[in-house]
Amino acid sequence: MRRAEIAIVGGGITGLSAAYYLSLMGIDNISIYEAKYIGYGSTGRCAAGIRASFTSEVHVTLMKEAIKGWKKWSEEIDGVKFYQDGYLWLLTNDKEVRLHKEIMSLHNSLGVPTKLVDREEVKEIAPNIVLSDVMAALYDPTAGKSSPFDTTLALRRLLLKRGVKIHEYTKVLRMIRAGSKIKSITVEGVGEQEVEYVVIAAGFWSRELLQPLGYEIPIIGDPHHLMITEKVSPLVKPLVIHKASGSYLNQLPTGKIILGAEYPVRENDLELRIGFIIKAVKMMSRYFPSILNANLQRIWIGYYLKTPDHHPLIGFLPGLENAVIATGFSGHGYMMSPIIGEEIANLVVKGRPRLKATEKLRPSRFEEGEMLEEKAIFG
Amino acid sequence: MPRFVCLCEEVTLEDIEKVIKEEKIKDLETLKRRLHVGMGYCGGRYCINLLLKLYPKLFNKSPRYRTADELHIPTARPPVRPVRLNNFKGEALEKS
Repeated sequence: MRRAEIAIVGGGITGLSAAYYLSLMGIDNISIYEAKYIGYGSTGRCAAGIRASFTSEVHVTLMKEAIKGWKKWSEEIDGVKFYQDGYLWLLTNDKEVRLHKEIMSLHNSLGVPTKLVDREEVKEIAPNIVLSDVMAALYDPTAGKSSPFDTTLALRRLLLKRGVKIHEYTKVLRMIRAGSKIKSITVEGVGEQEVEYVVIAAGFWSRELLQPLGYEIPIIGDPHHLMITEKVSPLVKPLVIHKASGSYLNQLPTGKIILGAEYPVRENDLELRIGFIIKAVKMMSRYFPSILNANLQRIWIGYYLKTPDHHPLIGFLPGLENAVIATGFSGHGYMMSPIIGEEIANLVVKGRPRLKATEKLRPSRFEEGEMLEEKAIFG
Repeated sequence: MPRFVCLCEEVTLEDIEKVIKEEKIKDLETLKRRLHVGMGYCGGRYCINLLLKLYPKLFNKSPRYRTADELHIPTARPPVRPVRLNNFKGEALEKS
């Protein structure tokens, strides 16, 4: 019989980060099981933005810690880069400006130094912008960006060096329960594997893994479009969001530009829509007309794994002492990953998370009637 | 003399062989993400085909009898060729 392991189901950023912190805590029997390749799901499809300027205390607290983590990762993990280029939320009417004054006070009271800036200051922050109808903007200088491809593969390299087993193209078919524990998992092509702990970080696929055990986790796969252009000359450093339409532009350090927009489609509808391209191009070319000369290279869809309160699920599954779940990041899994991985490791090794904010994200909160609130879920 | 596999991103056969060996890469998709082969101007139309020809040598496996799915060819996504964003301002659609 093989040695019992700490099995991480899912080779996205959450699983990789969890493995990293578990390994730092001295755990030496870690396995990651990934049904496809590292970063296949929402991780590799995200818009690469990182920010603490949320509107819920839990999100702000976690993201402040995550940004500390991103800085640490970029110093300590060869191949991870965090560019603290900021976020700029363009505001185009009085109501938004008033609302964002309040949001700024909330951020500042929680230690995130966002600043409401006027047209002149916007021009200083983003010299190539055409101000058009911009009245003001909320600027978050602590936000930034990082490449999900580079980060996931840098972690993959490091974890292999540290002796973590990474099983790619290896699907976990089911989990076998005995009393209050998951005793083993059945792995495609391998068979039964005993587990000490299991970490479920399989994003959308966490649902089907947990259903046979009677857990209905409240996440839906909400498809979001993104597109990327070919490399163009430096245009703008911060990630720029047009608040009213939920459209945004993120020029990556390679020079490519990611364009996104709120473009609601039905749950699990993965058909690409030209209407999305038109919306994003129309909105963002108003402020950056030169993007019209850029070539569209690729368009794709990724899931926001939404929970009823747009906050993730992290913690032990109710009734199980050795199964930790971490999913439902509602579009923010990549940016949160440094703190989430650390908290998963804390749950496994110490039995509890380090932060009170993480405790609030326990999976049982919906049954207990405790919902959290978040107003800014895009970007 | 470097042997280029990917002209857009300037990736050589030596680069590819090195990362496959050192980082235990087992598939084209991970190779693409690691070295950006297939992520340049040609969208992989040149280099991915070449990589498929080199597949048995690179991954020490025969590609014969394998389905496209088993080869894990990087996903092809629209547009087929790069298109100027200027074409998507939406004016034509609004007029019609």
